[in-house]
Amino acid sequence: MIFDLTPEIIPDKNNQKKYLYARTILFVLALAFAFYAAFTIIFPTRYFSFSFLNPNSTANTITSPRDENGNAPDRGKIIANRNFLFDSTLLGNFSEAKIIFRLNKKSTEIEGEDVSVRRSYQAFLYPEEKPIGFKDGALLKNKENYYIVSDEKLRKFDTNILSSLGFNINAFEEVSADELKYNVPADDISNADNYPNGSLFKINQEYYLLMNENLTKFISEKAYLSQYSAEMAIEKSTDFLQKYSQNESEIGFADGSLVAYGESAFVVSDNKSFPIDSIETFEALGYSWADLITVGGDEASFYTKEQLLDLSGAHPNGTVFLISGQTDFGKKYIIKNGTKHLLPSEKIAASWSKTNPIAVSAESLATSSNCNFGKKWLLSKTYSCEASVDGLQNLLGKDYKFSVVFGEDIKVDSAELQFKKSYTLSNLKRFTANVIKNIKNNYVGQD
Amino acid sequence: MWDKTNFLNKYEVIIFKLLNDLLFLLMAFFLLLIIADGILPGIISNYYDPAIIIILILSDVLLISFLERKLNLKLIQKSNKKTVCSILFIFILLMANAFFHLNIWLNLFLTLASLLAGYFIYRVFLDE
Repeated sequence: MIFDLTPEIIPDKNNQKKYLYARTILFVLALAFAFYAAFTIIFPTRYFSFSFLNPNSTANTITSPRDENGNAPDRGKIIANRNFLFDSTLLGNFSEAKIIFRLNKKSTEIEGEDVSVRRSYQAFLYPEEKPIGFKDGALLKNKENYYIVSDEKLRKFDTNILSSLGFNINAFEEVSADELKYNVPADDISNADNYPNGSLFKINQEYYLLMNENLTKFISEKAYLSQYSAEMAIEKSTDFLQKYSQNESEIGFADGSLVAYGESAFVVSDNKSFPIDSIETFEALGYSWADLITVGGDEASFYTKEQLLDLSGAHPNGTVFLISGQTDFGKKYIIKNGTKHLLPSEKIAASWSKTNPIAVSAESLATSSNCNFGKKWLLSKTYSCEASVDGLQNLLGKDYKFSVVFGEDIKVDSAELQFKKSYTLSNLKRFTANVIKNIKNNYVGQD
Repeated sequence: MWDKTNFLNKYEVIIFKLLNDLLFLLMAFFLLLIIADGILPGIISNYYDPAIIIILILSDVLLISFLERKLNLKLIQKSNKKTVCSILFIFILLMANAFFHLNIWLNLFLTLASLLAGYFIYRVFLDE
């Protein structure tokens, strides 16, 4: 008998047939399990949940359930006619999302309510505010006119004042009149004794920014170069430090920069650093390894260390997104305080960020999948709906954003999400292609 | 009425043999898991915890040894050279694969060092 580990032990005649049957059943069951395991790996189901009765539990895997104002529901109470939102983070492509709400016994019914699902990065789905212009300190030129962006406003230099102030003419970037209109015009600069806010200086190999008659030092040359080019700074001797008072605080890297210190990578923003918890998260957030700036202990310690940025985290302030789909190709957006702003031109975008932008799909904003809540059974307080997310598979981004408006106030005990992959040939092909791609990346190198 | 003790006494040889068959199947699953995860980390272990298979194997081995003593069976300890060689070959490949991204000489050195360490640990167990 093949694969028999104990051939010397032979059951008596009566039992031989029984053993053969039992053995066949065991091998068939093993084969069935192997098929089942293969199926669950190729066509997996992912589960997420949130208990509104225990909202601080670490077991909650649905990200930030909230109303349109960003407020978390109080003990599961969701207010009527307000957009109720929640997110989940998921790698890979799935075909179907099942949303399950378990209502409190005293809650009103929610049959027929419409749930909408979008896919992108959480931050790219933030509401859009007005476009923004060049960053403070930008030196611009249009025809014969020279400008500096100071306190977000556009200030023109009077003729002949540039050289007396010491600005390098080559540092001024030629821009169109259209690009200038995104910064509100302010008074011309006519005083050769005083520098406008946003002026940059290089004193003793250190860089400074002038703001409100105060000089603020950059923590390092690398930090300065992450925001401005070297020729934008006016070289001065140490005597210049007597003219303006020095600010105690310092300026770090451009918001949204990626820095590496030791074995760790961080995103820095608003003087805070967010340690990225894994390579998987780094890549899932769409970051590029080429953008990592290696920093020393002094630079790293400038930042207040925040909690780990994990897979469900959102991009911080200063992150720039680039639309890479067919629609609106090349448009860039910057994240600022929970909103996104269009960067109307390539030059405006370059003034804000020197790193590679995060690729997103414009269709993420327009495409959504919908479904209606239905009761599980007649007296049940469990409602579910299944939305097909097949159409969102080609969109870039790791986050799914769910939104629903309830007609009446309701009270939810818990919510669940199930993402399923349907048993189709295209999903099997996609899985195989993904495995081959990963093996190639592992053994041959990145594509 | 179904008598559990009578059933176990009647079929203990079959149960013993089936447990051995199960051990074979579990070992085959485990080998498949470590080969697949060695090539592409997480492809199976992200879904099925390898610890579960190890616990199942250990429980199965315990049951087998318990029954072996109970039935007073005399099992022939034989080693199949072909099986030993192929398992050893797979282990060498898996070890070299684990150090794949290292320098080739460092990889060879670490693989050999691991094999030597494994051999001496085996000898310690064998001597006792």
